[in-house]
Amino acid sequence: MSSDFYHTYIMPYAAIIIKICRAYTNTQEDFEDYYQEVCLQIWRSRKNFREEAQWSTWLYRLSLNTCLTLLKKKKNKHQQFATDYLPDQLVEDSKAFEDEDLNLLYDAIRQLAEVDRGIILMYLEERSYQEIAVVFDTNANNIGVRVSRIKERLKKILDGKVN
Amino acid sequence: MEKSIETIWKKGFFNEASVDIPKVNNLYNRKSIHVMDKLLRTLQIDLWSLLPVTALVTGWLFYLSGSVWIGAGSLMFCIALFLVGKSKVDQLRRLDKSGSCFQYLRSVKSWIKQTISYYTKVMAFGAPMFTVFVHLTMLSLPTDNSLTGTYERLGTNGTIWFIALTTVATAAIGVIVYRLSFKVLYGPSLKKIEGLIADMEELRAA
Repeated sequence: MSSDFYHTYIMPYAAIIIKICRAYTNTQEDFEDYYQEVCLQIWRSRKNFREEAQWSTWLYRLSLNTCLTLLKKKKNKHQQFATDYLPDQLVEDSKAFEDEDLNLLYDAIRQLAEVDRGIILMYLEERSYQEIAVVFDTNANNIGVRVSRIKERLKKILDGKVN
Repeated sequence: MEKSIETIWKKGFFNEASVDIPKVNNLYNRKSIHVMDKLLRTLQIDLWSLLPVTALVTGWLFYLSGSVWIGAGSLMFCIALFLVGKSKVDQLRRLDKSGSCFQYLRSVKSWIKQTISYYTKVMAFGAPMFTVFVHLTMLSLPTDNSLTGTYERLGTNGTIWFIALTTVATAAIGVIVYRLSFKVLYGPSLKKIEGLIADMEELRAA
């Protein structure tokens, strides 16, 4: 990947990629792997980008798809090596941010269904329902309803009502 | 939790003055470690599984021929395969890792190609030679079993053709079985290594 491409097309949007990757990983090592894989995927797929969409929207879609694919692969691997799972270590590593509330919110987001995580991340990043709908191939009304449900579930998780 | 999730998000990321951006340089090292771990694990299993196969083949040939020489020949052939296999695995482990991941994977790929070529030759020439050895031993023995009976029925010319055909068939079957088993056991790892090399070549060219 050329340094120019990375600095012009990826670095300004690194925060988006980081926020998405954090929502799909529990450890620092996984997070770094996901981040790098997403960057490589962006570089590999750069020729598929069409000007009619915004670069950031395209980036969301690609990052989410890459994370979901990696998560699926990891799940299959964990099914084969179930004993590798170390819950205590995961909890410790998941404290990625200095802000304690933000860590708690991320822990709650990780408990959501995989697609719901992507929707709420885009919502929290103040993306319009229309833009979220484009990424998830649905309509804005649907996204609106779904966001309300997700927020409710997140609130319950954060209040400790749902484990 | 009293704060809304929107507030937590905004405040949280506002306070995170600098979100640490991971460096994009280590992914291929990790990926190649995973691929190599898998390749070496499979090679070890494949190598050690040769020992029970040796016992089975030797026992079966001894039972079939009743000849200690054929049993001993089979044992030596299989043990030679095991020792060569072990030295090949050691050779792979000794490959230079001090250079870049790209150079290392290229050396691994080259090792794989050499090993395929080596074992193809073993199957094409070693296995038929062993077949000829079995035939010659059987012909020289006075034992009365199904194989010596076949020689008598076929006569001299027929026996020569029989030996030639079984020798060629052993070579062909040996090569085909080796290639197929290699594809099944090591095909996915080889494909991954080639994919990683292609990726890195593309990244270098960009």
